[in-house]
Amino acid sequence: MSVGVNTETVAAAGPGRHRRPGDKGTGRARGVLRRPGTWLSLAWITVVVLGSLFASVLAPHDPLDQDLRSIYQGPSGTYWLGTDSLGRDVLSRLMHGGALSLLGSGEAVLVALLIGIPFGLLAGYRGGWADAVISRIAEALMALPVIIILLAVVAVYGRGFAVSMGALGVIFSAAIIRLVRATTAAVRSELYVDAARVSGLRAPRIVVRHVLPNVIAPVLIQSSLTLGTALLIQSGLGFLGLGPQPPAPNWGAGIAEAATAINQDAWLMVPTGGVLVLTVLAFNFLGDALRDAAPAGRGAAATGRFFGHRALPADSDAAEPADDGVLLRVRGLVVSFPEDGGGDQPVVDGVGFDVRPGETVGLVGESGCGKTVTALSVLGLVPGAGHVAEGRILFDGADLARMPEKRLAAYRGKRIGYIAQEPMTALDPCFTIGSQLVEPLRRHRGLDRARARARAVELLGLVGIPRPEQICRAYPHQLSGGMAQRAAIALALTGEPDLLIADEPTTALDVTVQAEILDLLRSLQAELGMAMILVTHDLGVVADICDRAVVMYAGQVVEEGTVDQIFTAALHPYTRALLRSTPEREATAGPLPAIEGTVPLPRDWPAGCRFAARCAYATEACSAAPVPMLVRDPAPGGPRAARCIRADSWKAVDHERAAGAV
Amino acid sequence: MSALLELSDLAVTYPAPGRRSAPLRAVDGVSLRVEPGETVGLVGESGSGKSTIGRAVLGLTRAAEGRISFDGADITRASARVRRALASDLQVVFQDPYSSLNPSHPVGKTLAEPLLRRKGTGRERAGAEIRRLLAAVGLPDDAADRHPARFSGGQRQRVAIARALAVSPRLVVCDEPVSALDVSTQAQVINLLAALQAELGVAYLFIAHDIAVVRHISHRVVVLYRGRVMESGPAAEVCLRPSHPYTRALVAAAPVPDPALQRKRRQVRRASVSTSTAAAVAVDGPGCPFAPRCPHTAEVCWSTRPAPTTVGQVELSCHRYDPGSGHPDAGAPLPGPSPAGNGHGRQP
Amino acid sequence: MLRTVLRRLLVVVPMLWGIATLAFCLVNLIPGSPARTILGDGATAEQVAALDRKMGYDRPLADQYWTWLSHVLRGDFGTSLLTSRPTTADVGARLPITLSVVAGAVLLTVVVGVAVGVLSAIGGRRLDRAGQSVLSFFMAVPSFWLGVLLVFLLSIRLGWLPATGYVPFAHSPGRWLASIALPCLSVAAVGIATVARQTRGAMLDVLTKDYIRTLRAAGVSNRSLIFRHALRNASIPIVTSVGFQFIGLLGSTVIVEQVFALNGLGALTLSAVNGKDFPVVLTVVLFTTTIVLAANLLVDVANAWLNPKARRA
Repeated sequence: MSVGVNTETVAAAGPGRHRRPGDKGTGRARGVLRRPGTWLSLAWITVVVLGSLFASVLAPHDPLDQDLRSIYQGPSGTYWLGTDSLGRDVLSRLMHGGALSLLGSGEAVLVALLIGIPFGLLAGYRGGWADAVISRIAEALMALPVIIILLAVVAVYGRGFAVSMGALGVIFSAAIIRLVRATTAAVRSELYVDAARVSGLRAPRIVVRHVLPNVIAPVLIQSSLTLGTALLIQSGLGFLGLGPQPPAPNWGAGIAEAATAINQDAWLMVPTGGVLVLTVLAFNFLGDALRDAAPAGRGAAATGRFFGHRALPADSDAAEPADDGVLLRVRGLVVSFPEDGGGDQPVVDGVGFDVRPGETVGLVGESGCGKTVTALSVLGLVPGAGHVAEGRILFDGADLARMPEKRLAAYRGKRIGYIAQEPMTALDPCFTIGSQLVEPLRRHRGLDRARARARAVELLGLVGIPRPEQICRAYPHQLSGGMAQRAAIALALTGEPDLLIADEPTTALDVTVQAEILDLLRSLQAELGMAMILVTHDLGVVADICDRAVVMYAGQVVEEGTVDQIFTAALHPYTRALLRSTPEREATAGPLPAIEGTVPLPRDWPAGCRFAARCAYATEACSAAPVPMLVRDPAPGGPRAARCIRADSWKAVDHERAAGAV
Repeated sequence: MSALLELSDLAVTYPAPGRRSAPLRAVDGVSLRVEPGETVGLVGESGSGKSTIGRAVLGLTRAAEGRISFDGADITRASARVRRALASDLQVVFQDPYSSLNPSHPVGKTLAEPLLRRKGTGRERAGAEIRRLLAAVGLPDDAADRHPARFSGGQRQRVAIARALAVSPRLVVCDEPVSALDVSTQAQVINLLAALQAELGVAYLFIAHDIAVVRHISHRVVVLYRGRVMESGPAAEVCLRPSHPYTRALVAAAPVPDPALQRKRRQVRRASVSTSTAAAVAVDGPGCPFAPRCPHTAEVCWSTRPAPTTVGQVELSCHRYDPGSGHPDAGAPLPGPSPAGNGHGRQP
Repeated sequence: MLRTVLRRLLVVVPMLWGIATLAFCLVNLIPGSPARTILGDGATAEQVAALDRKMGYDRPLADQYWTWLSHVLRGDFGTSLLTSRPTTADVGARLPITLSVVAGAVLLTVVVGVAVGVLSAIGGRRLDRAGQSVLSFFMAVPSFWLGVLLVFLLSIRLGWLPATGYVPFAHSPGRWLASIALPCLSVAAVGIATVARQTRGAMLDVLTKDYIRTLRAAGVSNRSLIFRHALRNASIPIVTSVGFQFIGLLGSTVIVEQVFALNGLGALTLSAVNGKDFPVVLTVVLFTTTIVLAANLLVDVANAWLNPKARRA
């Protein structure tokens, strides 16, 4: 009997903080409704409720009618579910007992809601002492031994369910209070509530307009689960003989009677327990379905692929020779994610670039262009159900995309290091910095614990952390963002990798800290000679630290070249427009030259040039067919290429327009 | 003439984690003015108290000390009723376009919220007003019926701006309105804010961590560090020719999208900060908050809180610029090149 | 750590006092008089008045409360109306039986629940689906019904385990284990299912965290990621869930004792309830509340220990 209602799982269905534009909450709700289980549950509950409420009309027999000649009969045409020890019809007894059970559970839930919702709202919205007092009382209620208390209530107020179920409702109200309080507090901290306050809305209006709608879904879920729990507890009391006086039927007592007669007629256990199990199951199932339908519902399902990248099948094409001094060569990379309606949607579409030893390549682009997914696919760490669908990822001559997980794992950390964007969440909060460094150090370098510890301190010193011995013993939450990022860099360096992949390593940091981290990466690179892929949206960061830049737009590479080429002589209209729209470049007053429109979502990608819709220079030819990368003079600084049909005549176009404008 | 918004010696405190320790002063004696139709940029890093100032002005956080006055009236401890009356003059645009709009309300409902509160605005007039607002921020008419999830970050920020302007306020607090947006979208929103100001004469208190964005949109800029004003003055003056050692460090640290220039700026930066942020231990002493990282400190910097000094068009809180402070080098210009000069800026 | 315990104790003591007062009021604020309730409608007015006097129900409520509270603080919980023995002796005699079952059930819940949850989270889609269905079923099964079925199958039909009765540990550890095995199993089923679901959810949540990706990218082995890092981070919601389950397990045990004819706290309470033996009921309420609060304290301490952020606060 699960008396402790698990609020924490329900609270997850509260208001979602960051829903992305692509989210399809309504689609998910429809999916839940389409599940057969949802309908089966609803149908079962309807049948039970109607059958119980109209038992006096619908029941085939009088529940108290004894027929001592036909005791312990199995199911038959006359007695659909058989008869009990006194020859009474089991089905009719279940139907008549059901009304009592359902009303009692309903009473408990109703009482819980009537107490829980107002007090939860008050505690969550007001905060302060009201919250302190209400939360303490709820906490005390949740610490009550429910069954014992109910027994005591029965002892005082006598048999029957009316009082005891009311008392159960009071105890259950604690779970509702906690849930409503948590949801309300979460909504209360949303900026749209602040905006409503600034707009002059009064507190009751804000609660009705913004808070209550958010509270309804989790409360519904909790109510459904609580109904099931109340039903179980109530039948427990009935089983103990604490329901109404004996000849009157109730579900729990029915099981008790069946239990005493189990040696004569085991069948009796099936209908008496079955109706209870199925009803509770239906309530639980509905609760789960509601939770899944809620916008910020359950989220991850076990995909079973957290711990393995899906390797492409090996092919006969011999890998390109790696002796041209390229460390990483990505060619024709396609990364796809499964769509809701079935099928795969590529989000990275034919990406290719090279990284040579010791050089820093910037993967630049706005959000949603596929730069992070590209970088993670090199490590075989594409998030969720995404996977590399095509292409080659040649690292040191070996194709990582076709490598089984076991072999690829040996590359992670040892040959290829990784730094994440958000330093405060990139380190395990439950372990000290030292122990997180020691683990890979022992694995990669085969050091014993003491040596690994010494090396960890050394690495922390190397990344510019003062008092490294002390930081070694610290937990991540005790560090500032800049310090945590230094520690994360030290973690990435444990295997002394040849290639470091840094995914927006400074985006979450203050600008003065960013400058220091970039300096650190620069000096580490000079010292250790590793190559680096820097994923960033910040053109200033690219200019500061990169040798070459790969500009991405809508899943494709649109331009590639050295940073000097990219920043002084960009070939692609997107690169040019991006550069001009940064306020750093435009010191004079007046409007910034913005790019109108937005980056198209993967499902809206056009067949032709993906930037055409926003491009000032687009012609019909741009949208006619996919635009290939035009590679220009392979210069000593690496490939120079752009995906624009005018890449070669770009300068001429620019001059024409300038002339026309005058 | 009185300013539209005036803060004098504003302090906001938060209870410190330990029970017996003194409260944290998130904002510590900040004074500033915003004139009608003007944009004042508040710039600083995390922990500078810039957003807290915005929330105090909006009445979302209580001021511990000092005075906030709007249009000459003291609103520091304004009652709920006064605040509600103020709502038609004082509005806000928040940073996070995902959390600042109720995801379950269609955009039209969000925009109607401030409108319907005003007396005499019927549903029909509100509808017309919403269409006008959507057009003003460059969104199609049918946007009113759609939910925020259907919009991109930039479009949501347009909705948030429309909501703020619905009641024709005189001051809008913009709390990092573009920092969650991509570069191309950021430019669109900055342009929109500037265009609306030119048209409506609204004033902005523009809070941001990106000094280039602040410089672009602001008339005047206030630089904050650990809850105190370091430097304030005309935007171009403060951002392109920074005087205060902290402003210099801040400007020097922001990378510019020009590899050649950026290489030069790196050299300059080495001279503008003495200690890394990792090594600098924060001190809550009586002196200057920037002293632990400043390359120009003298004894007085650790012992005495610098008083605001006017140098040319800017006001500085730095002993180095205050001839009466007792700093041995007081009054002499800072050594080393100024970090700004990004080649594209307006030259003096 | 010690400070956490002390801080929690500061909360627990007033809570216990509050619940004790509540329970006292519950019993003594019955409409009519307690003595009337105890004796039933058949008793004469003289009999009621005599019992009222004997039990002190005729004195002012505040007076009764102070007497009762001062006795309780001295360990005197009163005497049973049915057996005329100190209630603490009765409760003390039954407690070991109930606690044996509860302890066994908690152990099963934690070990099996966590194992099933982890397997479900990492074992792939098909295993997860199947696991979810089985767990949903067990969450809906009343422990007493399951108990009866288990007795019928494993004891009566197969004769593997004794159907009823309790053998003290001191007599024979083996037979003690056999005597509580079925009760433990039937009580723990719901707990196992709940904890498994909680574990699965927490593991799935943790496995999507940034730090799992960074550690994996740093070359930490999958085994270490699952059992060292993910499980450790998931343990806080799991422990909290076990804490909630404890209350449920205690309640279920009280009921299931009837199925297995165990003479534990449940049997005592039931006879006290049926016999209107209020002193015993009150004593049971106070004892079980104390046990639950102690369990909660343990959960809090465990969480504080598991969560480095909470450790210093």
